[in-house]
Amino acid sequence: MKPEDRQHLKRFWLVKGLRLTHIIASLVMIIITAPILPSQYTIIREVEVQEQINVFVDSLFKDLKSTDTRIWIPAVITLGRLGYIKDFSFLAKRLNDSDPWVNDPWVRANKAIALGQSRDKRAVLVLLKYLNDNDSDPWVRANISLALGQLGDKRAVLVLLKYLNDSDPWVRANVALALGQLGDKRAVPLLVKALKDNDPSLVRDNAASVSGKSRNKIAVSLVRTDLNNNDFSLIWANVSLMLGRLGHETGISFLLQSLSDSDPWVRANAALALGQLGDKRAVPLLVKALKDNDPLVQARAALALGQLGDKRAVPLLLELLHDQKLSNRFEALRTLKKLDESGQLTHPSKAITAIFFILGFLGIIISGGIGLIFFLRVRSPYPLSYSGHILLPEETIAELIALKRRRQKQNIPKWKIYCELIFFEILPLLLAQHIQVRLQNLSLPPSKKRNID
Amino acid sequence: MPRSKKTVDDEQDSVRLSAIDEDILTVLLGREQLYGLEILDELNLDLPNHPRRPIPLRFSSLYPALNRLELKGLVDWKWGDEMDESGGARRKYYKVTGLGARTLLSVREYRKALVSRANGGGLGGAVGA
Repeated sequence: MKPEDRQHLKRFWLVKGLRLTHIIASLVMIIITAPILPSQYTIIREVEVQEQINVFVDSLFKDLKSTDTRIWIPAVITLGRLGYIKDFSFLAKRLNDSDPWVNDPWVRANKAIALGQSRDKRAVLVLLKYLNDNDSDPWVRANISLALGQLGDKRAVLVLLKYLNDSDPWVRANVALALGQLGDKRAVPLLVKALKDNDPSLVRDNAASVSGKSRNKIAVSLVRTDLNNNDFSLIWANVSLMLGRLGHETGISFLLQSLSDSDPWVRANAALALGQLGDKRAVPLLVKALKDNDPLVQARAALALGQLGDKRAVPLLLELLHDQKLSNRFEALRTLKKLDESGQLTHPSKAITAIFFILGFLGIIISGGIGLIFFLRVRSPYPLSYSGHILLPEETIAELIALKRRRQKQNIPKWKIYCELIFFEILPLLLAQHIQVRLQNLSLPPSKKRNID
Repeated sequence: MPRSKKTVDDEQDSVRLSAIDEDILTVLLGREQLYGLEILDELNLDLPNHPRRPIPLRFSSLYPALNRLELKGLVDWKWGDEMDESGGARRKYYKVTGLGARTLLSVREYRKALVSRANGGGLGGAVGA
């Protein structure tokens, strides 16, 4: 082998080695910059969830056009809860229309819920009329009371007080809740009583023996109205929440205590109520509840922690974005957005992302641009041409070096030479070499062999 | 319908030349072989009483054009041996191919015909010259 051939072979392998190093360095940088991916992934998931919500909301708006009360009323309730309906003025007119399902207690109860959500003061008179009609179904009476509480009109207080002696404990508890919402101080002792009457363990014990001759009214009501533990624990949690909002310690202490209840519904609803109460004392117990055996408790604890502005909920909230229940996905999205707005998500994660991005970018520049640096720094000609090959073909390196030497002989200042080379030769060359647009060649027939001399 | 056999003229017709391609081929035509900087020097030559190239050419335009010409089969190259001036990297020496020369000449002929036609037409047609 001739000496120059040996030299070329050596050069060939050096260039290959440098290119391989560049590829490996780029891959390493991609792995290092991987922490950027979760944030992007989150954005994608948020978009997905938002799309699903949009589809769901569209279907609800279609339901809204139905003439069947059993279809359009739940649509009003859900859209109202999701905040898509702000103006409920249409509700009174539609409810006045003749309804074949008026005898259905479920429909009557849902009408009351919808009116309660409307925040329309005119709905108070309608609801008071419903209440004065003394509906035979306790579930309807309970929901009318709750709706009156939601509307926040003090005119309802006197009527509600009458129902404090309702035969049904479920109604009494809701009346107390409504009074609490109306800010009536008389509600506090009633709520405390409701809390004690409805103690989950007591209800559970009595519900178990209700087939016997139990005289416990709550247990009887529980079975009669076909309530499940969720409904029952929800009202119990609501009563505690209301007490907490009215500044009564019993509320929060009951809620905190119930986080370790044996019933997952009780734990889940207590977690939700604690989030709404906004008391920071709940944070350690809610963090503990993130590891609860029951996924519902975990989810609601995460939502509650998110409400309290604690970012430890974030991993679970991200998982919740893929939950089967749309309401959970919606709540998780809303809570994450709330956390983001309060700076809990943006600050550290964006800073870390930015650092990783800069590191990755620098890594690629350093590993890829090593030839460029050699080109400017190294005196010895050989490493210069080897390293330059990483980014540019050998012949262009040769010509650039020749140009540089020519400029040096012309006694042009060094900085001027480098500026000319970098900005007018190397950068345009890099662009031309790596982003090749050969529009001119589009007219050429593909793979046509030509004879050259 | 059988495909007609392509002639050399057909082959030349399918090769399009840009202004830069044409300039480079013109510089290379009739010369033994030139490397990149020499081609640039020839193209950007600044002589008194001589028209200058309106936009001086740089490596970023030259090398893509040379690659293009090579793909079209209009130029050929070989590695140079001299490596001292170029810092150890090898230079490519370019020369025009037969196809390149024919293509350039046909373009020139077309231009010449175009000029004479334009001159004739510009004078209001044949005036008994």
